[in-house]
Amino acid sequence: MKLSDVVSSMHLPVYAEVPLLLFMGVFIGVVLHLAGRRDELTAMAALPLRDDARRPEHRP
Amino acid sequence: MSTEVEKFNYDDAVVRKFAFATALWGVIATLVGLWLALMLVMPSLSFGLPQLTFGRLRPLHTNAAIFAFAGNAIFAAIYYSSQRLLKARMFSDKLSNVHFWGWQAIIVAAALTLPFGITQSKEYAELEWPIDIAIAVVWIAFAVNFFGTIARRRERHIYVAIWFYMATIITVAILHIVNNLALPVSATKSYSLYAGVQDAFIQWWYGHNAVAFFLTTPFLGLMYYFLPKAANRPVFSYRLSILHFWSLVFIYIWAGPHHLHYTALPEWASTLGMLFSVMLWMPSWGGMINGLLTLRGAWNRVAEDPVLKFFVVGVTFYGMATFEGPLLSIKSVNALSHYTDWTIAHVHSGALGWNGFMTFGMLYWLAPRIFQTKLWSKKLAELHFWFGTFGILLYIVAIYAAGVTQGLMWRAFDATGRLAYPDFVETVVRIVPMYWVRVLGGSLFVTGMVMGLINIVMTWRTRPRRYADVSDEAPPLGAYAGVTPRLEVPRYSQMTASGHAFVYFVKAQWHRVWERSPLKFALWATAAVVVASAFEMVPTFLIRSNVPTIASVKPYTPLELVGRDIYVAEGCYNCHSQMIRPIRAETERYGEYSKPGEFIYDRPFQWGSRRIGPDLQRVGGKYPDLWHVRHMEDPRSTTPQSIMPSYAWLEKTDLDFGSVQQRVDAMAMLGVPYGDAVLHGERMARAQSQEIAARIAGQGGPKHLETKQIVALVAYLQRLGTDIKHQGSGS
Repeated sequence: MKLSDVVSSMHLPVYAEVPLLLFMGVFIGVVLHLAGRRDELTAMAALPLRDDARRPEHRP
Repeated sequence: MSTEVEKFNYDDAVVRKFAFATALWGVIATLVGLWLALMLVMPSLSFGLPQLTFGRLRPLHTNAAIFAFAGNAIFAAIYYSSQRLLKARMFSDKLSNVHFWGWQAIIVAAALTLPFGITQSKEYAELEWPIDIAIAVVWIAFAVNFFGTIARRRERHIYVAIWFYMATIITVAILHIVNNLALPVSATKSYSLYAGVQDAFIQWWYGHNAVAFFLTTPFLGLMYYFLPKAANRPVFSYRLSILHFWSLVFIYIWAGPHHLHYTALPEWASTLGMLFSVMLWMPSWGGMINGLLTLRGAWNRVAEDPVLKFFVVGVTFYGMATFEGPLLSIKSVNALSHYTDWTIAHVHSGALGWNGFMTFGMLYWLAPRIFQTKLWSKKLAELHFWFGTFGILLYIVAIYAAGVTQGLMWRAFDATGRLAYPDFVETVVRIVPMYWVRVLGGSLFVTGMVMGLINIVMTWRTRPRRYADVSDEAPPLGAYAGVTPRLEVPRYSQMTASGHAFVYFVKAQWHRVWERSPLKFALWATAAVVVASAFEMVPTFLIRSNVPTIASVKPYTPLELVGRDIYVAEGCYNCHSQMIRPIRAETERYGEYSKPGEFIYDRPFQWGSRRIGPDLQRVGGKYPDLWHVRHMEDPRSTTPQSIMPSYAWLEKTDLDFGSVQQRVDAMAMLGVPYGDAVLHGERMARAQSQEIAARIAGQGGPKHLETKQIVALVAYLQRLGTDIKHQGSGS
């Protein structure tokens, strides 16, 4: 039996549903991950501005 | 914890180079685009030269806009922001230079090959195999330099912009390698490893994700760094930016098949592409809102700061383009829009509005910093903004109108149930005024680009005699060792061990570890891309019922194969599709709809993505051989209102019979059942060319064409779509 025989006999519509569930799982995971990290996230958001605060670059 | 602080400086020289290259290639890319727009209303502008035809120059325009203009822009952004976000100089100055000069050499190689018909004919992946290898090598040098810098960083946390850059580097490498797998025939010619439906699927998996991971994710990284810098405010919601990142990485890669609705692609794949495209609305608009709200409290500065003006309009265009993209992926909308100029308007609102404006916002912000002087002219930057804005608006409104007009005219029926506009050229003539407005809009945009280039060059000219070192200081990464706060999850007496483990998982300490471990992070981002791709590719390749074979479909004869290669080299796919959708308006106009089994010997596929001219899938046998000769010689002699350029040189240029056998052998190696042709390819080609040349002469046409390219092209065109007419039984 070839690999193509196995795949050919699979139920195709599942291919449209499994990825949706996969994505939903990841999405929920990321949302939960982001919950309750207020202070940490505020510090991370400020990263691009840190060098300006410490060492002002040439301004036009 | 060690309190030792390390001093280091940044390499801004490479940023200056990429910034210059961006401004220069931007002008060239848009100038070529303007020339092409003019050609649509004045086809004689090709001056009868093969190198100047629309079919050969359009890939040069798209490649220059994407890889030269936008490419250099994202590299400037990455080299500037990564060093500062990671608190480290780039890993290797040599690799930075290899990247810069290698990339420019690739762009020059593209400019020297595409106008000469050296092309794979896959949209945005036209470059032939030696250049593809060079791209892979330069990209690897870039990746080593980038990840090496991450490894040497002094900042523990990896800011979200760097995540977007990582996803770009990894995914573009995968897309480029998989889509460009080909068997070389010579130094300038190759055949795709994939054929027909599979080739189309892989190409648009690449094509769509090139937009996603070359024109979207790196520009989002740019937005998340440069917009807060310009506004001098942190990003509105860092939470939303993380959600934006993971949602894009997980969704984008699935959406490619929406480029192939109603084609011979299996319907399940097409539906999957549509669903995921619609889901893209959510993260894209989240990102746009996050960008615009970063300006909260700074809106008063937008009126006086050209940098913020460019960013505001750029992010707004991101929102518009990412609203329109999913809209166009909905099958019923796509049935109207596909193959029309609507897609062209959509692409330009993204490329000029989102990529272009974000790029110039960044360049105007960068120029005083990297050249260590004042911007030469703020007024000129303001003028550039207004020229660009009005230019885009004129351009896209005209092309939207042209696209919708085309779509409606193609599908219109009269009261008797016949096509209202049966002659395709009627639909061309109707939109010519809109093409003129497009030329006007394009001219304004190009003028703005020239102003940008002048401003950058003049700013550079007022630079100090010697650039000061841009230095910084930070404790080494090791100084943080052991101080990363552990996640504390309280263990209550009623809590089971598995309950405690669940809470620990949900609190996602694992993700905090990834965020600081670039290797793990990169591996998971790669896994997201590979899994999504495999879900679509494996069934497309392995399920036999997806591409039912048709007994009457046979390989192209050696002469037809050479003719097909001429069709590919001339870039005919840029104006003509070879895909009749199962829609009544199309079957009435062009004939029987296209079947997947008809394309099994097509390497590369030639379905095309737009119809400036009519579909050619069933053109075989529709006209006498002489009609094709006259039409190629002077299209207006057969269709007076045609906007197709002349291809008169095909009657004068000798056919390369010496390469026929190589081409046949390469196809045979790829599994095409060529039989006797493997031994007698050239002889068979010469015999067929004699027959066709005799027929042309017999119909009153020019004599002695048997050694000319036109004969091979006629052989191919007359074969197109005819196999299915001989179908007695299909299996």
